Amino acid sequence: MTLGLLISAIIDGLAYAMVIYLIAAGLVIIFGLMDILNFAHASFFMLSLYITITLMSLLNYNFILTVIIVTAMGFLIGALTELVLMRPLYGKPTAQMLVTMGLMLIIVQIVVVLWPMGLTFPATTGIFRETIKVLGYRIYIYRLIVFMVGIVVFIALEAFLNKTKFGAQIRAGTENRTLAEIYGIDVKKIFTIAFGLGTALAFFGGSIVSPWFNASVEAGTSFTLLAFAVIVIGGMKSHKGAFIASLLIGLVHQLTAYFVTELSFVIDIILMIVVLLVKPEGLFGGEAE
Amino acid sequence: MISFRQLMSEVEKNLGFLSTILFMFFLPYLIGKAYTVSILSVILIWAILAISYDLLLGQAGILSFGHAAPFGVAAYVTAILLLAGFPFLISMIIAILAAGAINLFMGIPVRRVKGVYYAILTLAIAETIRISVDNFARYAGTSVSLIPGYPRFIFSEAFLYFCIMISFILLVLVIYAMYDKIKKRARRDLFFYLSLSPYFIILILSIIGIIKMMSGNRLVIITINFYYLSLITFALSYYLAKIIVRSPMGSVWRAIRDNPIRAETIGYDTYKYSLYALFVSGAFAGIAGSLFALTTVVSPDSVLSATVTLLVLLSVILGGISTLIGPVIGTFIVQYLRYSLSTIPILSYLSMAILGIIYIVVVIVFPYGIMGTWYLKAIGLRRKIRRKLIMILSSR
Repeated sequence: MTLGLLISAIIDGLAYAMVIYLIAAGLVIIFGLMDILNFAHASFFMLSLYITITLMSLLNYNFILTVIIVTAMGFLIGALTELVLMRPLYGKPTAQMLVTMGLMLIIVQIVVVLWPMGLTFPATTGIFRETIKVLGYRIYIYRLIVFMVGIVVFIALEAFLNKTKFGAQIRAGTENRTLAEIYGIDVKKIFTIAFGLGTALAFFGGSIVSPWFNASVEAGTSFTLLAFAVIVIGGMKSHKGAFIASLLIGLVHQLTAYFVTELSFVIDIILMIVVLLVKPEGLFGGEAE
Repeated sequence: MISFRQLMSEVEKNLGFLSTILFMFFLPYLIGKAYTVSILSVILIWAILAISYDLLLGQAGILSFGHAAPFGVAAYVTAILLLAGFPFLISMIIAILAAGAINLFMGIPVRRVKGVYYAILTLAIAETIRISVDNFARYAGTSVSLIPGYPRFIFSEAFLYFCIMISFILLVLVIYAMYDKIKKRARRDLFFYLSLSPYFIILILSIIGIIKMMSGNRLVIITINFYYLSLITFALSYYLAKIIVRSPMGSVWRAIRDNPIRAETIGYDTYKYSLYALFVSGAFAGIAGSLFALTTVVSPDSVLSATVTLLVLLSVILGGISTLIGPVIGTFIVQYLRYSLSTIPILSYLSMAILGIIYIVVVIVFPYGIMGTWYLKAIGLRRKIRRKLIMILSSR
């Protein structure tokens, strides 16, 4: 193990952590507000990988425009899902969870039918593929960008939740739904918008990392568990906790992937199991906002 | 030893179940196609798994997303032991115990970790097992796909004759029970015979099956033997599950499911009873797993993946939670759709998506599933039909 390899692994881990964070943030918002463990969330992420790469070729390889369109699409899909599938089942979180499982099945199958071979990101040059050398090891610049984007999203979301009126309403709904309703907050509207926001985050994450991961079905299934691990460790309702847990899981995941390949994935899940056993409410569950 | 009277009263109590099993015994000859029969035997195995899941979710109220773990572990244990040369029965028993043990192990934290958290925990443990087996294969450089194949008695004629003998004993018992029922009944009106009509239909169909069997419509012996093996195992498992559900332990489970705090206050050790439920459910999943090992290539993807849990969950929800017969019906629908859709060219790619849509519709429209809705509506419906019939009869 050399220093260069270690640095490379850490940077990879940090970038990976941000990918997980972008998925987990939406999950945390949805679970915090509606008590729904959204099984379809990571499949939304996977769907957006495919949509981004497909749109790229239609939009003349304008990456930023694609990301914006895909994110907006994510918001619409999320809000629509909430309106059509979740609204009839208000007050039955288990049934809603089961519905999201069905949705996951449908999304995965649709992806398999539409894009049977998986997709590769089209751009092979430019910022997406450039590397810098650190102590003899190549590091992709794009992964640093992903890391930066993740940090920016975290700060923006934190500011949104803490500083804006709408964020305050979301926090109020998370804290005590009935009380929020008594105080005149339209909780149903909040639910729809929050579900849309969460899905938009997953779509945004997917389109941002598509140059890194390309598109495959496995991406969805593996991230489902990782994102669950993150929200369990972070405390199911805490946005900050999800961020810190993402960093932990991302680093552990990539470090094991680099150095102890036999244990990759297993170690993340064991981490989560240990947290569930020792502190079921999560490491940061206490400071849920 | 139980007396003949006791046996007959037990038969009469379970007449519906026994006559259905009787019908299933002769069903292969009515179908006549080996492919359909082999699918039916796999569906019966899935039905055992659905029963095991219903015992856990429907009776004890524990939501687990890791039901693939006991199933897969049992399949692996069976495969390994069979390949090592153990007889089937012994490897099955060891596999069942192993499956119960793994479910018990997953359930150790059930006292603190509840609801959704327990669901995630079990999903995580099941996935850990799957990924570990996968990783083991990759880094040890060996294959973890095992093909145990059928045990030797599946190929023997003796087993077939044994099964046919059982079916004839069953036939005699059912006919005698029906005769007894009719004889005992004082008022034999139209409704009485109407309520017996399903049994008559089943008997007639069985007799047609027997005639077809006698007239030389023989299927491949392996197919039919394996079908009988899974049918007998299914019948025994279902009967056992019914006994467990009706036992005092079953009612404690339901008490815990409905209100854990009350059950604890009355004085039941809820943790202990939850662990019992986990072990029993795991053992039933083990029965299914060890039979399933004979039918396919035992690989992490086929027996340990989350898809197994998903399919079972879907069947249980579709059939109706905590009805025991519901999950069996749900399994027949789900698995039959799954197999039949895979033979239609256009739909084969979309089979899981179609199942997903059915699933969502069922959860939203029929939250109690097929049998749950039936139990809720049946009494009113029956009364309504009866009233209509009386009106028609009296107007004449």
